[in-house]
Amino acid sequence: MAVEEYVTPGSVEEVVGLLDGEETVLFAGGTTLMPRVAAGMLRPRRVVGLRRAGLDYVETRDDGSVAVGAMTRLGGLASCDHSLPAAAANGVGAWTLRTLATVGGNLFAPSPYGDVAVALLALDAHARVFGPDGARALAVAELPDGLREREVMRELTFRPDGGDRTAFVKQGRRKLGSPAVVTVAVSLRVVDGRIDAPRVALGGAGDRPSRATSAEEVLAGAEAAPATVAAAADAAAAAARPPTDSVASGWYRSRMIAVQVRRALQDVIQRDPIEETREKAHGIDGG
Amino acid sequence: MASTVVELVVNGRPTEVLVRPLESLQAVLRDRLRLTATKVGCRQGGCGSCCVLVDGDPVLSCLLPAADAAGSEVRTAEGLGGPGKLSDLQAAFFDGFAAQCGFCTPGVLMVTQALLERDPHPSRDEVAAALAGNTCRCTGYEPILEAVADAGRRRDASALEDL
Repeated sequence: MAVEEYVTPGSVEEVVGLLDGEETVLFAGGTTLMPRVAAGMLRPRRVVGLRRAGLDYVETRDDGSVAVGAMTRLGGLASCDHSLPAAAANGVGAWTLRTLATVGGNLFAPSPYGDVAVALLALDAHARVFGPDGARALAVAELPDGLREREVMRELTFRPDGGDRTAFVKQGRRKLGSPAVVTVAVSLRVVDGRIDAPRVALGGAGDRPSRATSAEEVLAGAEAAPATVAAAADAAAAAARPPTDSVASGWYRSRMIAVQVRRALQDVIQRDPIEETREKAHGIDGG
Repeated sequence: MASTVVELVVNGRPTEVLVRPLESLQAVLRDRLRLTATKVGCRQGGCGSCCVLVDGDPVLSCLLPAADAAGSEVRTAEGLGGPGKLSDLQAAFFDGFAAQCGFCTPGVLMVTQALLERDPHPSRDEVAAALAGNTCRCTGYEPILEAVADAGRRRDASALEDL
């Protein structure tokens, strides 16, 4: 049965109204849906697209929070000013995929795909959604299973001032264009030589991206030193229940979690944010 | 089943085409407009042989409904160069033996064309990154990377000639 209708309404409200459940599917970037339709795995009668619903933006609100529209293309996110989500977006697939793939769609991509959620978890991000019962907010950790029927993501929001030291690491089978063995996102502050507000998020440590809370407990208030880093990395690996799939075994992922968490944490505690800012200011004109 | 008329500009030519619901730009270019340089490799977005430019951006045409390209400028490999004349990029590929079977070539040309339009002298790593979504089974990629660097040099040379 061929698709009978493809519509792109001008608002999220109209989109939700058209998701009547009868052989109707939602269309974001198309990078998951079009292959399924082409392979005959999905035979919708009606397809409702979000392209014209006004959800492609990255903006800073008056209260200082950052809002990323759910239809923001990964290419757009990769070039935004916020280093953690930009790094996550830039690691997905290739340039040719990132022009179509969306932030919201990536949150539905199953393990070993779905890197953007790892960065958003480290930012303690939330999603604003809209459905037949109106608008509400969910933590990113609740996505996508926490969405109710016919609910659509409008935007993801986060506060950019959570931690001034961030790192994102993705280990894939290839340097580029590969799903992840493990993905690590870190955000923290160093105050008087001690770690403050640590957030460590992992992809490949379970069946979905999650915060490494045992590693965060080791880090909170501890000295920003190699011994702390090693203990946190070991805690992250010990708590992980990594999946085995065609990309990597759980055995290998366990070991790579320890390695990549250690590297990411070493990187952020050694880096001096003030020095980095100074370097950037002088780098171009040499003055 | 309700087809719709989609208006778009294809290789500089304003075009009207009848499109089935969700029909891909790839299918429309090849089956309706008989522009078969754009290839069908996987229909999964994984091989890059369907890459075209939409408003200057490299896009996998197997993943884009043609209706979503309404009002846009679409460029395919047929639009490179001119009648009987290869573009600098195509000439560099030809002279550098960067195409063997040629199946990946149109997709590779379109993404590297987009790259050169943004940066006439990309580094080798930047070219490799741009090509991360394009699979080539013949060349081992090295001649392709060389050809893109060569294309940049050819453009400099012809720009100097124009002065």
